[in-house]
Amino acid sequence: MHYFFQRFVFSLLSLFILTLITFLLSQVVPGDPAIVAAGPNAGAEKIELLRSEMGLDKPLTQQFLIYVGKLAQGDLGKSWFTHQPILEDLIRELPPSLELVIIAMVINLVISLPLGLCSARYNDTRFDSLVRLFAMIGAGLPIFWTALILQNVIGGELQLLPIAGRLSFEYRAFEGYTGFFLLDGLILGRLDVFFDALKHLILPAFSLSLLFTAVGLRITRTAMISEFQKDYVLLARTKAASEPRIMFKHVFPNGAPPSLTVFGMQFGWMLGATVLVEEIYGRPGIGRYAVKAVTQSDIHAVVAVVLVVGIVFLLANLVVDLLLYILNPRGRMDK
Amino acid sequence: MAQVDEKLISKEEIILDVENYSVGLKKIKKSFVEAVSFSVFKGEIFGVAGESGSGKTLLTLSMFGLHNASHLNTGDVSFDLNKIIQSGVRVVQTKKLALRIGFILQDPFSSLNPSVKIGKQIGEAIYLAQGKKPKSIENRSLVYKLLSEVGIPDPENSYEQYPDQFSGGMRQRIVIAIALSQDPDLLIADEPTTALDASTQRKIIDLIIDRSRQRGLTVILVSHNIALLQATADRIAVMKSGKVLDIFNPKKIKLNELNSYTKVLFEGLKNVKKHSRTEQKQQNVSSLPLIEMKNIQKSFASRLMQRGGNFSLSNINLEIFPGEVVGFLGESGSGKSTLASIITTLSIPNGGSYSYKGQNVFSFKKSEIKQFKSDVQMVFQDPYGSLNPRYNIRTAISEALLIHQPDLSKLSREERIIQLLTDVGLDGSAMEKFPHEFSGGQRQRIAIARAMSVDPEILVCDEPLSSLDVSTQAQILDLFSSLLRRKKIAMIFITHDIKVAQILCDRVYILSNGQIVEQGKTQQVLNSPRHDYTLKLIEAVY
Repeated sequence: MHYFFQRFVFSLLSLFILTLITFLLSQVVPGDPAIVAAGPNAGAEKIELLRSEMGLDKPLTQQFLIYVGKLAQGDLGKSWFTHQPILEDLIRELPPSLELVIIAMVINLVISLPLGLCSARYNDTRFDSLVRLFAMIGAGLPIFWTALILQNVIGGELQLLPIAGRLSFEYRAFEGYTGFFLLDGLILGRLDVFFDALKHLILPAFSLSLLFTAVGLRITRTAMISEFQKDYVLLARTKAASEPRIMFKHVFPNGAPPSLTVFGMQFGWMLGATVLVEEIYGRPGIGRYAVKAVTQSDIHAVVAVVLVVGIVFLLANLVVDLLLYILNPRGRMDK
Repeated sequence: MAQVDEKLISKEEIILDVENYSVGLKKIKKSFVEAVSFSVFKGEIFGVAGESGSGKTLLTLSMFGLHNASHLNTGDVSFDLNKIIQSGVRVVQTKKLALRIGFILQDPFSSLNPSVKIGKQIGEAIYLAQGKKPKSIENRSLVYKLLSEVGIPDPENSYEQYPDQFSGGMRQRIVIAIALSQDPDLLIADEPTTALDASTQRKIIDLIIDRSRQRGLTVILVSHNIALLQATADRIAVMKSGKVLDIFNPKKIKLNELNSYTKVLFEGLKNVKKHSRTEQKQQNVSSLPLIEMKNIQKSFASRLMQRGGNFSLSNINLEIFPGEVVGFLGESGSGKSTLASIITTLSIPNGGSYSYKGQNVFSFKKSEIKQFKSDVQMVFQDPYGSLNPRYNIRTAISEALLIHQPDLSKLSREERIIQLLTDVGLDGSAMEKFPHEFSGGQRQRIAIARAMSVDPEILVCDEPLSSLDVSTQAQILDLFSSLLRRKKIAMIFITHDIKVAQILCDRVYILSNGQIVEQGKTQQVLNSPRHDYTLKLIEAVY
């Protein structure tokens, strides 16, 4: 329990630093928010009025407290551009991106863990060279390029999968509770929607995950190789344990932690990289939202996106750390 | 040689028959073990002796397909009358043999799976051998039985614990339990006690021998410790550079029939001249202590540092006089090395006083610190790690000279280096070479030359022999003795080896759990020990 508490406090501290950074970010942006908010034709008096309304005349520390207080109530401010509350935008834009990242992560895990384990077991064989070649190519291909090629070949020429959007045209009126179409499809018992959404996810998710899979594969392989060299593997062999038993019961649980740590961080990085595939596959999402906000100098929206991506990053790492703690019996024992 | 005896033994009594066996490594096809032939008889304890790199492990593991990087070249191996290797090709796979062979490996810290309860690890072996489900009561009770057989206290609770809750010795007992659990015919123990403390070593070897004798098990015991094999094995094979030089019965040993190398191994440290400098010691009585420590305390804040032993020190009082040789004896974790790092001021104690030539070390001025650092020199355990691989020997030695004696001209520095190298038994040509071109013993000589280069008052040697082979140990010990005879320097010699202390040290301090438990003249302490711990250390020696 002590560890859980410690880890939780650490996350809170990180969150505090994150909000401080996002707050300062909005401060260093040139231009007076009050002038912008008041509009081009406002007089000096109106600007002053707005300034005190927005709390801009107060000391910085006090402004920060107000900012944190608003955040706590879920108030991320209004977009300068659409004049909509940013929270509403995010509630709309975040689920499609998270859905994409989760599917990409699943692809990543399903490929890199078993392949890394096998190539470590058959280290220095032709199979291993092949896997390493794949990893090298995967790590070298830019995400947007993979996305374009896959879209063109598999979606365009072979017409195996849809090339854009979240759902096919006939489901354009579909609405769910959560915004995660896969989840909504299941909740509402609409399996047709579920599969349609999944079809639309495969290409973007694969494009997004390739680079991360290559990295995850290399890290898993390295970690597993060093496990295979340990004497307990030899001892298991002398016990007459079968190879699959050695690989999955002995080596895997001991070699997985370094990869899990990396996967935790990759989750956050992936969310940051969604823009590359969202643009190409015409999907709504936080990546595209962020780019739009940046090009329109919509500072509040940009800051909100930074904050949200940061929080997702923190959460993913928290989950991984807790998972590692639970998986590691030695950790459990230490308390 | 025991060849005459071998002929009298019928084929059925041979469990392992090795003929003309050669094996190399995958990447380099050249054989490292060459044309080895021997037989192991049922029920005997067969020792394999040799220095590190002699091919002992490669030989024993590769026969059963347990050496990942090995490449079979030639030879036939039969196990219990069945050919397992025919003309350099494995005909019976490892998995088929695994149940009939038990293994005990060198490092108990890595030979158990760290994330599985130890009871389950033994249970797995029972399951794989007898098919009893790991969760069944039968399996569990067999595990309990084995745990108590190998001397693990409280089997029920121990079952639920993880490897890192046990000490090295206890873990090795668990590995023995795993090996015994499958009722093997042959037990292979590869340096089973090398990673353990001296006092644990003997208990583990006794346990292996005792259990095997009781079960009528054949044991192949691989070790570099010749005294250990002499005391336990029925026959010993001596290996050097991948060849078996001699096979003999240690109880009927006739030294003159043996290979000269085997003799060196056997004589080991016996022939090293005992160092003594009685005349000098009388002078010391009147002089002031070089080093004086009072009530030194050292504790570590981080728990991590204490894993695997309590390295903290408490209540250390000691004096070292000019020109005397003082031994620090104790097991790993007893605080010997921590004490050495305080003496060399590499770490700072939490309390107590430390004076050098009557002056407080902690209030030294900058120039005094420099003088102190040149007066106190250190020789480390690992001659591989303590020399920078990118510096040739000239650079490595002149580095210290440049710092501590900057006025020396280039020519006289050069002469000095040659003199130092000759002093340690090398010659001037060594100067241009790099560390990797030397053997472990030669590197330790270079490390000593480097330490001596600045004319120190006191040399602190932290286990300088323990990473060297037996025959090399004797040479380096000889070197220390001759250096001490020729030069007037004091020495602190940290060791776990009582024999070494006997040869070299005038006085010893016995350390246990960070405290000095006994001190005095070497002979006096070792002949009539007053503390239990000292007795334990002495008894552990073979």
